[in-house]
Amino acid sequence: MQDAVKPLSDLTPGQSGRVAAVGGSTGLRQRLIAMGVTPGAWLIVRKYAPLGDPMEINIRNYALSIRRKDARDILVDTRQEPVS
Amino acid sequence: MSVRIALAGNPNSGKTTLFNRLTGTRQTTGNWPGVTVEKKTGHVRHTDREMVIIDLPGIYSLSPYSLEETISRNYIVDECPDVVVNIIDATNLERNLYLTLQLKKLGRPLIVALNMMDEILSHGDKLDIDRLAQLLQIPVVPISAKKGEGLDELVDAISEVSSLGCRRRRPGRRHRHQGRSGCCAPAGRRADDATGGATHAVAQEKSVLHTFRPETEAETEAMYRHAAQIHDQVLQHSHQRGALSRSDKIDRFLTHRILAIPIFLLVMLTVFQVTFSEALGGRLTHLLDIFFSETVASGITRWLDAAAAPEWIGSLLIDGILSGVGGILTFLPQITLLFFFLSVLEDTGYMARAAFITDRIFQKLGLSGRSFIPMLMGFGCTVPAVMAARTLESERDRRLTILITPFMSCSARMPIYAFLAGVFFSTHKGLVTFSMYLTGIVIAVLTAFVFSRTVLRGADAPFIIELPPYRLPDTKSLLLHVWDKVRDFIIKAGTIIFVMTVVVWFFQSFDITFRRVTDGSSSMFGWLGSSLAPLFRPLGFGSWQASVALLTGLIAKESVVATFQILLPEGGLQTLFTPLSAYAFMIFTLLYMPCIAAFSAIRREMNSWRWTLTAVAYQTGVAWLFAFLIYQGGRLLGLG
Repeated sequence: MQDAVKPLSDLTPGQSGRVAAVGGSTGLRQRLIAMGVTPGAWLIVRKYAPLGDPMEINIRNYALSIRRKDARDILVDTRQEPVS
Repeated sequence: MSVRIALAGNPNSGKTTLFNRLTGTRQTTGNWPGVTVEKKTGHVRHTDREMVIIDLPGIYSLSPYSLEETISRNYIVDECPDVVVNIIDATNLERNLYLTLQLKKLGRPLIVALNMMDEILSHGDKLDIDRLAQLLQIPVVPISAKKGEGLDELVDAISEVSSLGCRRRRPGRRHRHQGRSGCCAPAGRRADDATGGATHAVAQEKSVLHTFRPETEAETEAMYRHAAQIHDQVLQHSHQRGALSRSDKIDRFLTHRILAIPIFLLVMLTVFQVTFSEALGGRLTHLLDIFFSETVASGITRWLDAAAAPEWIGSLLIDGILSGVGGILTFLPQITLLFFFLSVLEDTGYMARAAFITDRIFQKLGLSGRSFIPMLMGFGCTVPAVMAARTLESERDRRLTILITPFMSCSARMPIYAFLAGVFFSTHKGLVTFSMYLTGIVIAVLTAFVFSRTVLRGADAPFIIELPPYRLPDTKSLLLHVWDKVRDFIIKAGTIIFVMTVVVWFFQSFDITFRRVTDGSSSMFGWLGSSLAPLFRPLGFGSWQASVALLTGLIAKESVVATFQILLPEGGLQTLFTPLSAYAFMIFTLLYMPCIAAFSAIRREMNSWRWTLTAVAYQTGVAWLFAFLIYQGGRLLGLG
């Protein structure tokens, strides 16, 4: 069975979910959390850049660009649907 | 006493537009003490009160993890502004509110300026302003900074809140570094010796930096939850969460999997063409050149003749100051155009997309996509290019970018290639010139690759940037921004370059006993050139003229050509160079330390003498090595 909680970097465009955990180095985690990438926040993957990296996500109603390498440290629970 | 207002807000919230709308041209630009972050101050008159607005850097949070955040937070705590105005992008309410909640915790009188209200209405969204003010317990003034709406109400609100007043404990005196709380710091929030991983917060005397206790991650998460609750209570979206916005639709093309790169290249090519080609920028520069070198020069000559002034005055004015300062000012149209385009790209939101599209390439070089902008500008002039490196977030990226930008062949080096290739490679002139540009790029890329894995290793800064919504730029802000840069440039030409040209003229015109000379070889420069020449002999150009040309090239690269024209011996260039050594010389001029204007820009932006000197020593070293390899290698192959 496919795991529903996976790294953000494994999500494909159009896939969405809620942030389950934010890991990585202190600096990265602090930056992400300050930008609103906190556990519980809903996000959707918009696209990958033409050269395959970075990726664009929409979170808290704004667009954020993040490298795949950094996105590996964000775990997303894809079972949860957005609330309007 | 005037009322001091600190303006705080997220990047892309319209903060600069609001600041420009409120203060117009009554602003001053400088740096925050001890750091290279720009500090802007402006003035507003309201009835009989003078208001001073301090534009804090655009920040997402007040945690001490970046220079900008530390500066903002410390300013509010240490300098006790009478009012803090927090500008919020209403279309991005949830994330913007996080900063609002942090600002509120600092305890200064706070007003929220709710910007982009026009966009909220046009989207068909509903925002309950009264409810927002009630939940935040802060006055909220709806505005549209771009349209200038709601500004009077905002200034009235500021005036009202400030008259409630909080007196600074010791007006005019700073009370930082004293191990006690500022007048408005909530008890226990200051921890002067906190270590909290604040990489940037190196406390310096006279600096705005000192560390403070950061929020814990749990606190941040709680604040974001609070922000989300407020957001849900006051804003009714007309669309579902995650629905495609207008910007997303534009991005279907501009960051499209296949179309993005061609569109990007087309945009860059257009900017480049208009700025540098004969169509506009190049033509204006050419006209200015004629104006200075003919109209002004002959005017001065006539005037001096009429006044029967001694010959040396004419020489100083025309050969020295006019050719130096005038020569630099001819680049004014190109600089203006370049900054105009860069501001448009930045203000519309395309610059962030350019970084998004190219980031992969720069990632491989150990840089971020934002380094692309300074490097591109480097083809124009190294000075603004180095200044543009300010937009880079991490100090490491900034230093690395500044280090490699001078390898991008600036437009002042073009005449050198044209001059030498015209004589020695007349049939392959274009190819030889192109090879210079290519070599510059290759060396820059190699340098970035090597340095990012050795000297500048370490914190591989995460590249997390917001892709702001596409917006039409505000004309007034745009023009003010361009004027700011142009003024900087003019001031520089009138000060540093002016002094340097006088110095150079002097060394070219007098010998060691301060006698006026007509033959350059007996001047102080001739003497200096002869002493330096042995250094360049292994590279194939050991004549004193070549050494002097390289020295004057430090004032402005164009002067290399001018110097040769003055110092050329009887037999012409062929007596000084072979085709091989001419090529080695061109490589050397491409790579060696940039001109003095670029040097001072590097010094300012690096904010470190050690780094500045390392950079120019490295550049000159690389130049010597490559010229050596080309000349000696070529001789081994029998080309010399």
